[in-house]
Amino acid sequence: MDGLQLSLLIGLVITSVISLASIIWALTLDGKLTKRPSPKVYEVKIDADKIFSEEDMADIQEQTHKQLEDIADQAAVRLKQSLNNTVDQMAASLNDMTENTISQEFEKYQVSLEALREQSIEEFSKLQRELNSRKVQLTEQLDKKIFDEFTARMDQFNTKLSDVVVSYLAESLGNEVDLGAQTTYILQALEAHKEDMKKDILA
Amino acid sequence: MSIKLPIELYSPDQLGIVMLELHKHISALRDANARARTASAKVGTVAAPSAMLQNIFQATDTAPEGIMACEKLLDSLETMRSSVPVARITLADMPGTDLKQKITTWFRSEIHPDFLLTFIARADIGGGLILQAGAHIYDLSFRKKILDNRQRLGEIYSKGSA
Repeated sequence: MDGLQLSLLIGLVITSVISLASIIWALTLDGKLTKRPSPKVYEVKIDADKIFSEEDMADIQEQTHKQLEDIADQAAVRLKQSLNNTVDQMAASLNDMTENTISQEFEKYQVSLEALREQSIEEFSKLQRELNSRKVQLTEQLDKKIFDEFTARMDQFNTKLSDVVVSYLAESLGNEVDLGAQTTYILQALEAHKEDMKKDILA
Repeated sequence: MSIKLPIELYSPDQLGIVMLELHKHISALRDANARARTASAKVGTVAAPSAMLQNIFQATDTAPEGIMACEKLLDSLETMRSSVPVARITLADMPGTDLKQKITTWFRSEIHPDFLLTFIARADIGGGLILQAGAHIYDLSFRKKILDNRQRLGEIYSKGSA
């Protein structure tokens, strides 16, 4: 038999011994408990009909009812007073709020609204003036551009037309040249530039 | 030698032709002279100078048969050709002799007595003249006047429609 088996056997024996001891101890305690005396329980009943008489009961009921009514009346009076006070206070607060706070706020609102209105009017007026000014400026620029464009196109047209006319004139004049008729013009033109020619040619 | 060019000689080309002719004339004179010395050689005849050369001989009092005088004349013409002012005149058509002489007379009386002119015809200028002397150009043509006053072309239209 090896060590493991030996140790298991020893453990089993120990466990058995412990269990047996526990059982014996439990039995002993049970025996002691069984021998202790149990406490006695007493029940007491009170019958209310047999304590007070019927007249006393009626009297007590009447007094109780009366006290209850008094207390209820007092509570009602106090509640009514409290309610009246509360209503008065609320009315006063509402009046105060209406007359002072709301009026002041309303006045402030009106002033703000008026100021906003004035500012809006001023802004719109300013915007209107700027728009008018810009419109005038743009109109002037546009007019100037149109005029410049028109002038440029007219110059271009005149140039082209002039070129056509000049070409026609040059071509037609060249066909029927009469130098005899031009003699006077030629000599006058030479005379007009005589001094310049002297300075340029003889220099 | 001071030479007064005849009015018929107005252009540098004509002067060149005259000088060439004078040069040939001098050569012919020399040849005739040389032949005359050797009696056995046939004496050559000297061709009569052209009308233009005759005019120059007369204008300068130069004897046509004198070699020295002709050579002197040639030198003078050579000097003149390199120094006289020259201009080119462009007209709408080639001018006749009369107009050439009028223009030449004007230049020689107003600008320089030995002015030489070259006449050119260009129909596209329409009329008037273009004078070019050295680097200077005077455009007095009808074409330039029309181009400079093209904005007045409307007057043609309005007058034409009226």
